[in-house]
Amino acid sequence: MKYSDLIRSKQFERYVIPYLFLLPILLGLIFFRLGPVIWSFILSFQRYNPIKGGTWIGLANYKELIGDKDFIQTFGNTVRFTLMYVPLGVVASLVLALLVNNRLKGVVLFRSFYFLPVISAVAATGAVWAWLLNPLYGLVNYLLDTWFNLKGPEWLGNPDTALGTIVMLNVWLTIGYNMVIFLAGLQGVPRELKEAAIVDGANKIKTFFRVTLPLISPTTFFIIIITVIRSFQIFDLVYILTSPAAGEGSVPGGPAGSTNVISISVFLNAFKYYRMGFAASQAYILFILVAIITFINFQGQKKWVHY
Amino acid sequence: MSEANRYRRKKTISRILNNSVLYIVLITISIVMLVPFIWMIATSLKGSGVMTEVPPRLIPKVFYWSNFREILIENHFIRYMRNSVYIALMAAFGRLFTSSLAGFTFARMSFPGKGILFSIILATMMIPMQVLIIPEFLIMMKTGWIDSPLQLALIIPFWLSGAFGVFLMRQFFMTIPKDLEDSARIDGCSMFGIFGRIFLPLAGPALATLFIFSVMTSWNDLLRPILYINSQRLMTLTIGLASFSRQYDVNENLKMAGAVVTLLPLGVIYAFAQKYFVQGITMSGIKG
Repeated sequence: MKYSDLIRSKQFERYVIPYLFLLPILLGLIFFRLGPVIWSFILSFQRYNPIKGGTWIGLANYKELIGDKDFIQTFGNTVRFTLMYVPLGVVASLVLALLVNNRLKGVVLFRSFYFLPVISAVAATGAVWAWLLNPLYGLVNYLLDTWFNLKGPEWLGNPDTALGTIVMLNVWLTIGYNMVIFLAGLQGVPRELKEAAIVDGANKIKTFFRVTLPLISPTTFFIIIITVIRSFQIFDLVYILTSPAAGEGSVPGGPAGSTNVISISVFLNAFKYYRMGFAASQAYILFILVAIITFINFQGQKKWVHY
Repeated sequence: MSEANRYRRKKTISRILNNSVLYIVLITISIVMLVPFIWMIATSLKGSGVMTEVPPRLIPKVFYWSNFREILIENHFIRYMRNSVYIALMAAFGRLFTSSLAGFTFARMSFPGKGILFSIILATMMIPMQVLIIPEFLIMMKTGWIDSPLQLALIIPFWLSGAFGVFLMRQFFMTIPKDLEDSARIDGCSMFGIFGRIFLPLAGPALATLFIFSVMTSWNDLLRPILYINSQRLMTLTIGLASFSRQYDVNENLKMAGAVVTLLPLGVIYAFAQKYFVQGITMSGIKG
């Protein structure tokens, strides 16, 4: 058989060419996705240092986690962050989507303003917010003082307010993203249905809760799922806002560990203290947590999502 | 005035009233969303002495353009920018190729294991970064790609693992009519020829979306540059800015100039190609 006949043969086109075309992606799947998932799992049962290598220690990492004060704080921070951020982020972006869901002149410009933080590097926007929220010289506390005669809090400088501050900044950062997705959902709601409800004597608020909200419930469900997943994994914003000036010898996640979430703890243990096995066990706890919550969400959806 | 007219007029007035309230709300929110950007630009143009002046000024008395010279040249941000551009473009072009080839394969060919393979690729998008990053780092250590002048650790993973790109391109290629493919086949085109000569040229909008999305992901990436770049001369803008800001004797005006430099290139592209940003980002969410 000639070469040109071979590459056009049915067998070749079915059994060889597709895998050839998929080769780069398959390599990536093995080396950067499936391989690491398994390797991380193995690491979590080891004491592993990148230079000295690993020793098998069974469940010791997981046992250590349960009694570790730092990890309990980290875990609590992650959960509290999620509990604050998810409702706020979802409701605020829905309200925003409702506000820009019309044909008002210039509404496209407003939408592009609201979306701007989504495309911006957190390294830059985080630095600006740190400056705006500077307790002494920041614009925010200056305005609070002159306009409302209020003494502004220390924001990121105080363990009581730091996590809440990051929640608010994260809402600012992500609101445009959820808004765009809600907007797509809202635009799929047929006008006639809303008009019919109005004709039947429902007011606007009632129409929203009885007609619009049930109709966009698949969108809402989707947004809740991804917002939860992302909030469990928040890293960039915390890293940028809580990394102290170099030379102090301290690490992100402060003050007093109040913003130390799981992803920061994984980063520190793996790449600062070189306790990679311990870090991998934390990453797996995060993985399992996200999987369980996503599963619960999917179970719960039957009660309120209408397709 | 007839009853109908009066009713119509009342309706118009209430509409104008409603619209003005809406405008006020939208503008107020815009201010909150934009103040950080405006304040960043304002601070970046101030002299070191007046940054903390009371009351703060929005528009500086004297424009210190020299801040930008200082940040770009003396603090090497021009080099960081070159590194960011290099990484973003290399990563994006490679990713366009591998993702569109794989997307084409999933959309137009039948082969054993197709369904399950595609599901696995989609499912990998749910794996948290934290689980993947430790082994990835160890792989990069073993291959010696950390801190390599070619920045392979920041480029190769992008080429090889683009689940979102595969999904996007597959969705697009599925919409192309089969007749085109058949006639090319009769003319003796190979599969790769059909992909390269027929499908790829039609995929402009999808490729643009993927390109923008990929450039943005690389440009804004923080974790990988932290892990994979040690030498200052190889730093990207994000890690360059982060490490510059962590020096304790640095003034805010220079930090803000650095932030402007970091945001401006993508911001300019956003102003002209907003559609592709929004499409890419929303599609990347819908993937799950």
